[in-house]
Order: sequence, then C-alpha cells, then structure tokens
Amino acid sequence: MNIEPDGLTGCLLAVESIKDARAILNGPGGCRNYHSFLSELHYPRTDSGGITEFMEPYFMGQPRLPCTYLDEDDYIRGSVEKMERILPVVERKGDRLAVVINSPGAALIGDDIDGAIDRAGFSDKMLTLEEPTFSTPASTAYDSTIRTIMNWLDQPRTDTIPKSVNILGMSITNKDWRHGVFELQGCLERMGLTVLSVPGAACTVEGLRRSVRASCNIIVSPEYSLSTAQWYEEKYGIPWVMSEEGAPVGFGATERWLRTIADATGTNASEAISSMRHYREVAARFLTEFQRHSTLPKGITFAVKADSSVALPLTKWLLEYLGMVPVSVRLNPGGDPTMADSLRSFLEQQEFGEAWDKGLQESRPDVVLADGHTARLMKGMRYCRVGVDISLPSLDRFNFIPRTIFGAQGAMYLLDEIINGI
Amino acid sequence: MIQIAVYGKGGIGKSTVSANLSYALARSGKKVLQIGCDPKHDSTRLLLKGKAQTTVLSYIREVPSSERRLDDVLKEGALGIKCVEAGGPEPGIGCAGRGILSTFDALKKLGLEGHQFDVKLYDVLGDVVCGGFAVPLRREYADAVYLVTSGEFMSIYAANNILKGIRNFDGDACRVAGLIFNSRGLDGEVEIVERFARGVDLPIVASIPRSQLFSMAEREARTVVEMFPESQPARVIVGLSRHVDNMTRDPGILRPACPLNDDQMNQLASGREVDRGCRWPDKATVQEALGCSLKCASQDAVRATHDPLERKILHTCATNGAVHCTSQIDKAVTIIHGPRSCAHIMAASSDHYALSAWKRNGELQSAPTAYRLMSTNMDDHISIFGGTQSLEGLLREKAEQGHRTMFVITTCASGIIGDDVAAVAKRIERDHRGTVVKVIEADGNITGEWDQGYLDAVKSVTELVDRDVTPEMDTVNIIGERDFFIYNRERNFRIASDVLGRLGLRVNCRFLSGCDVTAIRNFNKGGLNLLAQDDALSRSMGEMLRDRLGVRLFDLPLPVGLRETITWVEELSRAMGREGAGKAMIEELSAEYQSGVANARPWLKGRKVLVLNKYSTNIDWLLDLLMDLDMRVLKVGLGVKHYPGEPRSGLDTRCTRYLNAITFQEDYGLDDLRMDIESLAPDLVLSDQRIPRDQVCHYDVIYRPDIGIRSSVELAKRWANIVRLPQIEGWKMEGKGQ
Repeated sequence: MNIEPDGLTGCLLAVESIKDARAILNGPGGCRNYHSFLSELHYPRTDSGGITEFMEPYFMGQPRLPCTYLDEDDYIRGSVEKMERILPVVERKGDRLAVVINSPGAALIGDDIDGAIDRAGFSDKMLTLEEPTFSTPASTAYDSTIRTIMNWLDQPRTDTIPKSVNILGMSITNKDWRHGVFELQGCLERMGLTVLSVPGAACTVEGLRRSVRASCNIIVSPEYSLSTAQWYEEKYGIPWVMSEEGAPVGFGATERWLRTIADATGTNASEAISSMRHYREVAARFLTEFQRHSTLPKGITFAVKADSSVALPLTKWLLEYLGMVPVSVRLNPGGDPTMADSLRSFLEQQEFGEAWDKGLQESRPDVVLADGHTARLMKGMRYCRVGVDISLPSLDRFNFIPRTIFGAQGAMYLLDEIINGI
Repeated sequence: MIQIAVYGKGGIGKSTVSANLSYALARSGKKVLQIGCDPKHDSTRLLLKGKAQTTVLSYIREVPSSERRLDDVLKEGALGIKCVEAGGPEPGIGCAGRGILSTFDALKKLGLEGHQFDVKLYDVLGDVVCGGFAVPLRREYADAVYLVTSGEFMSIYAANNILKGIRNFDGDACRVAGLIFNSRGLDGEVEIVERFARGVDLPIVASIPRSQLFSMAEREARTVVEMFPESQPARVIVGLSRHVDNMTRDPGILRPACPLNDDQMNQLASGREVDRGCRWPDKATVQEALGCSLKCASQDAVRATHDPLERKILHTCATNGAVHCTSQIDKAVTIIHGPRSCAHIMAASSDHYALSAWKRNGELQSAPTAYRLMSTNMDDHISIFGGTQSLEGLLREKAEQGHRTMFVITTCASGIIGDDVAAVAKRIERDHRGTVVKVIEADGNITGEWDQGYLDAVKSVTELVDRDVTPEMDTVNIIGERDFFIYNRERNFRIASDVLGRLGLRVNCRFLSGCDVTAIRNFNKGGLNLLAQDDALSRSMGEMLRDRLGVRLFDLPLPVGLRETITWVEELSRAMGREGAGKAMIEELSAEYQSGVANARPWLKGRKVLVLNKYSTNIDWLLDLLMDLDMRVLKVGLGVKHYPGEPRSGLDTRCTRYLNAITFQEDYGLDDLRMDIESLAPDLVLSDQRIPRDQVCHYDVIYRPDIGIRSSVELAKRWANIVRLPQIEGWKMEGKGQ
C-alpha cells in the first residue's frame, strides 16, 4: 500500500483550511473532483442553496477548488490564457486570499502564473505555490503551505500579547478537527492561556496576521507544523513547544502535553488536568463494569496506521492503559524521525518489535485504528472486529457527537469505539 | 544589478559568448554570476578552467534537502565570477525543462537571492522554448535578453522562436537587447542576419568574427578575452560588455519582441527582404480579427488565443477509467506510473463508493483498492530524469514476488515526460518468463476521459483471453458490471445468478467485476454474453468483445421491473434453448409481483404522482409500476436532450410505451416542479434528484433500482409508507420559525 495522500492533497487542504481563502487548482478535472469533495466534506461552508452561485465556468457547480481543467492542448501550448480567465472569476467570490496550486502535470509545463496574477492586478490577494509537491508527504506539504502563506502575508512584527498562544499542527485532515480544536482550546484556557489563532484549522487571514503577536506556539502534530513553528521563531522570535510524547492522544499523553506547555509558558496545568479527572473516572467505571463479563480489552490485538505524533501516544496508551497487544504499527509518510525512533524503541522494549511496520492485512488484528477508509473497509472485509476511524480519508462520516481523538474527549471516543465494537 | 539572459540554438556558441561576456564584465569591475541552463552543463567550463562543476539537478537528486548548501553548487571561477550549472537528464529521458524550473526553485531555497551581484547572466538553450526553458524569460529573472545567432537558417529560426516566447510573456514591453551575430564564416551570412535584424527590428549589438582563437582558448579551458585580450574577437566582446553597461544605465535602449510569422520566415529563407508591413499579431489583434480572414497570422497564433472555454471540458481522466477497469481483476497488479496523488485519488474515490454501497445495502462490494493498486510515486526528480528506472524496479519486485499479470497505466506526468513504458514491459516479460505486462498509455486526460481509459483497458484485457477455448452452452458471461454510481452491483449479481440458475445456466466470467485472470483467460467458454447495463460504455464494451473475440452478444441489459424481466427471460431462454424453464419462471415471477403490488395498492390507488426524471433514458419500469398500482401520473418532467439521438420533437414510442397515455415535458426544471406542486397538488413526487428543502410534499428519490421484480415490490411498499408520513420532516423546518 503506497497510495496515501501526497503533497497535492496536503497543499490544497492547507489552503482550504483558511476560512476566507480558496485554492485554485491549475490542473485537469480528474485531480479536482475528489479534492473538491474532500474539502467540502471536511470543512463544509456552503449551504446547498448557495450552489447556484457556482454554476459557472471553472467552478462547474462545485464551490471548492475552482480549476483550469487543463487538457492536452494546454500541456503543449501552456495554460496561461486559462489562468488569465479564471483569476477574475475567482476574485469575484470575494475571498481574502486565493492560492494557485499546480497539479503534477501542470508543474511540468512551468507556466508563468505569477505573471498572470500580476497582469490581472491581484498580487495583493493571490499567490502561487510553484514548488512541485507530488509524492512528498501530505503533512510536509501542509506545513510548507501554511509557512509559505505566512511568509507571503509578511506581517510586520508588533508587540506580543502576554499569555497568548497559537495552536499549530491541527489540520482539517484530523478526525473531527472542530471538536479537537475546541477541546484543546478549552484545556489551554484553563491554564490561563488565550488562543489567538489556529493556523491550519479554520483560521481566517486576519487570524493568520494576528498570530504573529502570540507569545508562544503550541504544537499538536509536528509533521504538520514544525517548519512553520521554526519560521515564526526565526522571523518573530516566537518560541514553540511540543511534547516529546507526541500529540495529546489518550489520558497520559494529554497530561504530559499540558505539563510541557505549562513548563514552557510559566502557567499552571493543574486545573486543566483535574478537569480530565471526571473523564478518567467515568472511563474506569465503565471498564470495570465491562470486565464483569469479559476479560477484554486486555489481550486483544490492535493495528495502528497513523502520523508519528499520533501513533506514538496511541500505541503506548492502548498497550499500557488498556493492555492491548500491538501487532502492526505503521506510520504515514513524513513522520517525525524522533517520534518514530521513540515508538520503535518502545515496541522493542515491550518485546513487540515485530509489530513495527508490519502490514495491516497480514497481522489480522482485532482492532484497526487508521484512516476512515482503511478502518471501515478492514472491518467490512472482516479482516478485523473493530475499525476505528482516526483520520482522513474519511469521506462518509458525519460527527453528530464529538469524535476527535485529542484530549480527554478523544480518549472517550477511542474507548467508546473499541469497547462497544469488540 | 541587471539580469540578462543569453539565448540561442544549441551549438551556436552562446556558452562561449556568455563566458567571454562574463569575463569582460568582471574585468571591468563587475561582480558577476553566470548560470548555465543547458542540460549539457558546459556553460561555465571556460570560467572554471575546465574543472567539473556539480550541477544543481544532480546535487538535489543526491543530497537530502536538510544537508544542502549553496556553496556546493556555486563555484568561484576566473576573476571571482560565481558559476552555477543547472544540468539535466540524459538525452531522450525525462524533462529538461522541468529541470530548469527545479533549479531555480532550489537556488532560491539555498539562499542565492541573499548574495549581491552587479550582473546575473543566464546562458539558456533556446532550441525548445517550453515553459521550463522559458523560466529565465520571466520578469523576475531577466531584465534583458540577447539572442545569439549565426546566418544558418535553423539558428535564426530558433532566435525567432525565442522572440515569440518573449512576446507571449511581455506583449509590447521592451526587453530585447539585440542580436549577437556569431559568424560561421558562411557566404552571404551577414546579409541574412542583417535582413533578419531589420525584419524583427533589432540591432546587431555585436558581430563576432569566426576565429581560431576561440578553439585555442577552449583547448586551454579559458576565455578569449582572458587569453587574447588584444585580439579582435576580445575587443568585440568587450564592446558587448559596454552595451550591457549602457543598458544598465539606460533601459530605454531595449526593444519589444517582434517575431516574424511563417510567411515572413519563408521570405527570409528564400533570400527576400522581409515584408515588415505584415507583423506577428498581438493577442488583441488576433481576438479582433477572429472570424475575419487572418492572412498574415499563422495558424499557431490563432490557435493560441482560441477560447479555451469552447473546447470540451474534461471532468475526468482516462487513467482513472483504466485503473478502475484493471484494478477489479483479482490476481493481477495494477501499477499507476505517476505521482502518488493519482493513485490516492483513484483509490480513495473507489473506496468511497465501496463504503457508500455498504451503507446503502449493508454489504461491501470490494476490498480496499490499495490491495490491488501500486504507484511508482513519481516525484520531481523522476519527472526530470525519467521514471522508467523506478517503474522497472517495481515491476521486477512484483514479478519476483510471483505476480504473473501486471497492468501499467500512465498518467499526465509520465505522458508529458515521455517515458518509454512499453520498452520496460518488454524487458520484464523477457526476463521473467510467463509474466505478462500490459501497458495502457492513458496519459491522464491526454487521451480522453474516464470512458476512453476504461475502453482502452478493456481492449488490453482482451489480449489475455485464450482464443482456443470454445463456448459451452450452459454458461454465460456478464459484461460491464461497475461500481461507480451503481451501489447494488453484488445484489444484482445474486439476483441474476438466481434467475440464470433457474434456467439451468451458470456464470462463467464476470467481465470485469469480481473476476480473476483465469476467468478472463477462459472468457470464450461463455456461450452468451449478457450486458449488465444499457449505457453507451457497456454497449461499446460489448461491441469491442464481439469484434475482437467473435463472441455472441445478448442484446438486452439485465432487466428492471416485471415487463422487462418477462421479455428478458423469454428472449434468453429462447437463445439458450430453455423455453420450458423460462415459461415456468415467468409465471412464478408474475405471481410474486402481483401479490406484492396488491398489498401496497390500497394505500396508493388513485393517488396523484408527479415524476421528475432528469438522468435515466428509460423509466418505463417505473411507469409500469405506477400503473400497476392504479396511481394517476400527472406528468413526467424530463431533462435536457433526454433521449440521446432523438430530436427534441422526436419523443416517440421507441422511447416510452406511455407516450400517448402520459404527459411528458422536456427541459423540466425545479421552477417547473415548484409550479406543478402548487397547481397540481400531487400526493407523491418521485424524482431522481433532490428537490428543494422547502418544498412541502410527499416525495421520494428514485435511485437505480435492483434488477428483477422484487425492487419494484419494495418500492411500492416504501411509497405506501411515505404517503402516510408527514409531508416534510421536522429537521427541515429548523431555522424557519417552527
């Protein structure tokens, strides 16, 4: 299986994660439909009544990712003319920012898109990402896109707001990212911190501008944000903090994440941690009740396919907190090398080293925790008993109740899926 | 600081001119950077005294980004001139133009912009002015462009092409510095170049005489200006460096690009003075002149401004169609030769349909696509240097794992760089006996849309069929079952298998859903070939199989509703000599249908129905059911061009048996529906699209039903319930004051 999303998806979704921005795809229609659907599904913002506004060339009734619909002629003769035509159509939608992203084919022909933007007089609200990102990890491209946009905004350095932070490394590729942001924001607020901005997850252009006033950047997943965090530090002197244990997944890692932040920001995490106590108690009570009639989940096997910052705390938590047995742990491309090493060492120390990078299908786990498609298809094919959806692609789930994997809420979601599934 | 680009045909001496010019500029005290943009990477050789230079492209290929340093590719040559070579792929492989793009990107990332220079000189191959080689023409790079040419026609042709490129970037803006005439010593050469210069309205800023001194200096890997500073060629180059100097102070000496059109080039080639009254038209002129006679403008000029919106919009790509076709085949591997995004998009979309089908039907139609699909994960390096090596590696790996049937499908990226995939396939087949590698050159959307790719793949799959196998009269093949927008594939197959079984028939090969390579090899065993669907793609597939394999086609698609089912069973049982079994089955099916319909009739009899059908070409099964339920059909609203091939007014009994019994209205839209709901007050609206949320009426969305009679009975039951429910669900009233 070497068909995870790549840099094209990462770039497009990073732009689409900005509330008042729009990605323009310079490429064929075949690259558009899936991503347009994905964007609308993961970050819906057009009600069905508004669709008629998009019944026009380049949108073709789909609100997200207007596209130049390149064809053979354009590959030979260049696509600048199409670009010149699409730009005013997109500009009329009134977005604060539009970013042109080349499909792999378009990246090969090397049209002067910046020139077209200049000639159209939109240089103050449109830019091009010329760097070909195909086959690079989606997370890396997501990170570099946010960084490039921040760099392009070129916000002047101003005074810092004390005790204010940005959350970095939350992306709209996370499972139920909205509740995730809400959950983590709540934790930080209980520590006396104000969240200024969440670049990468429904932030506005104004929010991105405001973000340079933060006193610290809090990283959730470094794969999606480390280079952006380093850029903030270099350009604005904003320090960043991340937990060596990875993202706040499971009770233990969430606690450690909060303590690391408290140490770095000079705040107190005790209220945030004690507010988790309620969830821990409920979880323990339910697990006790469940084990009256069962020895599970202790001893059942699991497989994880995730970003390194999620796989590390998740694997540890399932093993240490629930007593589950890892049989397959695979990382998505673009993993943080330190976290990957840490996870591998952990598995070896626990004498489960053979689970590292083992194929999902061959390991025949009881529980699969993976992107929505893999998890659900594995269950559908009866390759596992439980398929827990923890990330994109997850095209057909609607989160009526919180299904984030982060924080205490996230731990409850994971427990709910596992315990009720087995 | 000034940035200049020196363009010229390969071998015309532009690198020699560039290096000499850089040297002359440096000698006058300028801080100079020279960047060679030619895959043969010898632009700076004379400045580096022949020392090999690491090219940017080989560097970024070999060194991880975190370890790259500008100093590794920025070498210091004579007089402190900084030298960079872009490099490029081997001839015939990859995309050198893409390489130039990557070089500029890499230099930017390595921090070249942070270095101060008085002159940046780009030495660029000008034979091919594709997007990549035109990068130095962009305003952010070149303030001025020099064209090196001799009197040879191909050299002038190349210079003229570069002028076209500049014009496409700049229009009338002034950016051309002039011609540098590098003499080959040919008879009449001066006159030709002068005529060209007059034709394009450019000065000849330097005339470099043919001289042995150049080869003497080259043997020493030095410039003429360095070795023979007092010679005539050196004096000409120094004069050229003064021109650069003047231009820096007075950009007003730059001219616009006025390339010759084809007629003018012919005049030049035939030794005549170019008719300057006839210019290369600018975009506005062409736009204005479209529709009129454009005698002077070449075809290319007109084509370049042809409205892209008038071309057919391609919403899908052939690669996706081909992948969908071959990836259904069990025990075969499909390899997408392209970026990972292609494979991801196709697999994720396919999986989404599988999950949607599961949600609707409670069963999964297929395993994760990733189990049957591989990608060569083409990245930027592969697109520059060619991707056949990585493809070959993957094919060999799979062959060694025991895979005997593999399909390779090309994408836009591999198509554009022109990888010779067929040659790779042949090598694998030669080295791994018994292994079959089929190549489908879909090239993204370059060869067409989804259907085209699917058909090309079908054609390729038919080459696996064993022609020596003979038909058996108790078996049939089912052709063209698909997943996309067909959520009930497996259920339909079970229904079809049941009906066929009752006729004493069994399915030999499901072409191509749920079949394996062995079933395809034995395809010809099927005594009759049944089309699953009645659509253009299925018919094309059927005809292709008939024409290529000489098999028998059964003309009717798998049936929906009672009447279609009766006809289908009658025809099929006749074709296979099983009339008796057919007759008995028809009696059973009819009885079951009548009984089911009778149960729902009390709730539906006499109810008024409005039907909106925008997409299906045949809904007689639905109208039959409504009639059998004794419902009153008020009207059938149809979409635009509803019946393909039929003129608007030609809606006749070939399209529907109910033409004279029911009112049909074409071009029926949601506004019509709104008015009809108000004026006709239907008890039930049946539509194949969602109707506006605020419409208060009983309604149901009609998806493509399962084949056979039971889906009709189920629908009748469903409508009998729907007419008893509230007209509008409560959640739809949220935010409306209730």
